[in-house]
Amino acid sequence: MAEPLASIRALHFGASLLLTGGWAFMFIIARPVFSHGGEDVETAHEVFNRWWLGLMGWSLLACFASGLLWLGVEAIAMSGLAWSEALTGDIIGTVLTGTQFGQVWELRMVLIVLLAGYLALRWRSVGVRRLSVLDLGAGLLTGGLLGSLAWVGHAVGAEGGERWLHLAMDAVHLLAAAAWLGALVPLGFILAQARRSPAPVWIDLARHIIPRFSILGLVSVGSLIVTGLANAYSTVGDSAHLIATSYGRLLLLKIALFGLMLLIAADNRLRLTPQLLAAAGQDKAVFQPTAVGRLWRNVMVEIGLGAAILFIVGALGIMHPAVHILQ
Amino acid sequence: MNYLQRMLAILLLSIGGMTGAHAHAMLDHAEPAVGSTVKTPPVEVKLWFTEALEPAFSTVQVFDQQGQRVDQQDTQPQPSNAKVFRVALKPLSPGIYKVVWRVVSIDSHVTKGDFTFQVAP
Repeated sequence: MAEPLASIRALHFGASLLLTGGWAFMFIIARPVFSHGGEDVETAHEVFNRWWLGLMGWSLLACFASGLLWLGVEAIAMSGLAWSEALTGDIIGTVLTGTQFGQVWELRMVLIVLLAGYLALRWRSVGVRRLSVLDLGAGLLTGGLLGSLAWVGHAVGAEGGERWLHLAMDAVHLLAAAAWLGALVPLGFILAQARRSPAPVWIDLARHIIPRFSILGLVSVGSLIVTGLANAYSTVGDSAHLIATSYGRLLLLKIALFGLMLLIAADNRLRLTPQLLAAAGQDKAVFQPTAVGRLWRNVMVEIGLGAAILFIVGALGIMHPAVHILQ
Repeated sequence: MNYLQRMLAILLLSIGGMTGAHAHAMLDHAEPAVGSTVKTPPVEVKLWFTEALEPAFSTVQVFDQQGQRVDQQDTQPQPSNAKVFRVALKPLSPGIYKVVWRVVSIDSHVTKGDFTFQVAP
C-alpha cells in the first residue's frame, strides 16, 4: 500500500496547495492590480476570474477525490485486511471515529464542502472586482484545509510543547509552500496570456503583478527555509543521519530541487523582472519574446520542480524518519 | 539586542530544544522483558511504545509453543498513557511464549514485531 499512498498523498497535498496558493494569488497579488483600470482590465479580469474559478474547482475536486482514496488506503493499511474486507462501513466508520487521522479527515471534508459552496457563489459574480467577506472567509477555509494536513503527519507524534511547535512549523511550512508553489500556477496563466494575447493589457498586468509576486515569494522562501530546517532537525537529527538513511537521502534530493527552484527564482527576480519593467515603454513586439517568454518558461520549470518535490513529500510522509532508524 | 535578533534567538532556542524523538511507534520495552526468563507466570503482558497509539487498530497477541493463543484477547491502552498497551493472559505453565504486536501510531503508520519470554519450570 506504500506506493499508492505516497502518490495519493502527493496529489492531495498538491491540490490543497493549489487551493491556498490560488486564493493567495487572487486576493493578495492580483486583485489589487485588477481593481484599477478601464474596460480592457475589466475584460482581462473576467477572463482570469473564469480561469481561476476553473482552477479552484478542479483543485477542490482533486482534493476531494484524493481524500476519499487516502481514507480507503488508510482503512486497508490500518486494519491489515484485504481491500474487500477493509472497505466496509464498519472499518471505515472505525477509522473515521476512532483515529486521529479520521477525525482530521472529517474536519477537512467539511472545509471542502464549504469551499464548494463558496466557489458556487463566486461563479455567479464572476465580474465583481471588490473583495468581500466571503472571499476572506474562503482564505481561512483554504488555509485551514492545507494547514490541517500537519495533523496527519509526523509532527502529531511528538509530545507536550514540542508537539505544538512541530505542528506549527509544519503548518507554516505548508502555507509558505502554497504561497510560492501554489501561486506559480496562476502566475503562469498571466504570463501565458502576456506571451500569446495580442491585447497589451496582459503585459501591463504582468508588469504590476510580478513585483508583488516577488515580495510574497521572498517571504515564503524565508519561511520555507526556517521551518524546513526545524523540521529536518526533528526528523533527521544530524548530517550523519542525512546521508546514511534513505529518508535522509530523499530529503537531500528535495533540498536540491528546492535549491534549483531558488536559482530560477533568483534569475526571475534579478535578471528578467528588471528587463520586463525596463521595457515598459517599448512596443510589445520588442520585449515579448525575451523577458515575458523567459519568465513564462522559468515558471513552467519551477512548477515541474515543485511537482517533483510534492512526490518526494508524499513518500517522506510514510517513511520512518531517519532520526528514529539510527537511534 | 534588537527585535529581529531576539526573535531569531527565540526561534533557534526552540529548534534546539526539540529532541527529535517522535517517529513511527516502535517497542521501547516490555514486561516481561524481551527475551527474559521469569519464575512467576505473569498475569499480563505490558508493552511501552515510543509513540501514542490508535487503540482501534492496535493489537497484542501471545502464543505458546504450539501456536495456541494464551492471551485474553482484551488488548487495551493504559488509560493515563496512550503509549502503553497491555493484554491479560490465561494461566501460563512453564515454557516459551511469543508476543506478537501490530500497532497503528497516532500519525497513522503501521508497525509490527514480536519477541519471546520464558516461564521457568
